Amino acid sequence: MSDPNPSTLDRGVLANLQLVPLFGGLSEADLRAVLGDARLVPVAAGTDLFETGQAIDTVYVIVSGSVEVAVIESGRRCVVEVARIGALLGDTGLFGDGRYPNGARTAGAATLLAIPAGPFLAQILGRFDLARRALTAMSVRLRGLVTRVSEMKLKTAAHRLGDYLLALACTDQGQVTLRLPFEKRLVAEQLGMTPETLSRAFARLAPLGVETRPDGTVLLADAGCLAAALEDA
Amino acid sequence: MSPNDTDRDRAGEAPLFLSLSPQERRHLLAGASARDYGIGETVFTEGDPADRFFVVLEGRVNLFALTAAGAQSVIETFEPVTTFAEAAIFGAGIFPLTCEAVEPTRLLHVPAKPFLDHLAADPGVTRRLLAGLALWQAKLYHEIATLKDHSPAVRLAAFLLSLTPVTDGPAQVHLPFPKATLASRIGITPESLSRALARLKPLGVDVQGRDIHILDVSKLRKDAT
Repeated sequence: MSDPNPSTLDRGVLANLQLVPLFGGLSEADLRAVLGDARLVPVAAGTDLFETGQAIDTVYVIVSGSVEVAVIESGRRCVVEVARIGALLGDTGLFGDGRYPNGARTAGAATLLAIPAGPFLAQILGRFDLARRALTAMSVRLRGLVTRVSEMKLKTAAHRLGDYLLALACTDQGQVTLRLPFEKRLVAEQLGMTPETLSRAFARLAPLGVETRPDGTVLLADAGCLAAALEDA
Repeated sequence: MSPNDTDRDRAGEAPLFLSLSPQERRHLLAGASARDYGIGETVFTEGDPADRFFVVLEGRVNLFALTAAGAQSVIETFEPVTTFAEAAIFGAGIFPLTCEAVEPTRLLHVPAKPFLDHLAADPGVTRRLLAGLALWQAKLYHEIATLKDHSPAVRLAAFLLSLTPVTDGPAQVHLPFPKATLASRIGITPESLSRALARLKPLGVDVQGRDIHILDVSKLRKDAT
């Protein structure tokens, strides 16, 4: 990792951490206890935070930016998730063999909260209220993954893209202009498809009023019409 | 109804329990009971106190929310052998959704209080539950990687090749289950399966019902995977 630039955890950062399911609703004192000597570190784009199989020394919370989570499949690196603000990274292996079960690399420049892993684990296991939160957070995260796997199995790429756009639009009515949260390559990663498949998926949604604009925005001519078409698909 | 040994053994296969020792598993599930549900029968309703969680032993359940218009919006489907609603007992203490059996279904009910008491008394068990979930996450990540990386035809070829001990030359494979099951096993729709089979034909894969002839195993391995 690049040279960390330690900085104190101000109220603003602590407020941000309320977004992390594990920390939501914790008092400031509790939060400081759990975070221990955590430091805020700016990280350049394309930095490997950790790799599969390394001993876990740090867990991370994304404070800004996004991080690619990748596994090695048939000898190749394969991105399985693009984690965003509020995601906790590197914690799962702590409860098992103490090694990172996957790799993580920053997608763009990011700010991360680096939490020393040992004291963090001790806090969680030492306080049942925190352990319960950890179980809840992990169950909820896994539900999300199970849903993604079944969608990848059952839905076409165009259907998944349509669902994704509607989720971004936050409405299923009327005309919507939206901005993709990542560049297209990362959107493809997030949806579990290649960039070429993503382009074809956009093309297949065009007759349903989905238009990509040169400025990077996406226009949904009629979100209701798109939602209905996906429902019937 | 008290669960028989088969129920308990099956429940132990759920990812949540993967890292527990058999004794810990028995202890944690000691107060559990099994129950059968008919199609459409309600398991719990949104807002009910979450005084238990469940393991799907047989069949299938849907968790759904009711829309303003009264229609069901299915959020999640659970099949054997998985736990569900455990997040509700660890967290909010109420069921946030409604659950219904969609086929004849057998569920193990695990009462929340003794389960949580047991965890509170033994951080080691809690840690191993978390470790079980971590293993499950790793498995799901790999599943996503495989689904993303390979076309249905490639996955089909890999599966067919796994059914034969032959490594070179021709092989005859008998599908151990119907084609619809095959499709779901490799994670594609029945329509995609037909297309995938058609794509493998020029590579020497000939299908007659559930009997499949592979012209040259090593060639198929090289060309398709």
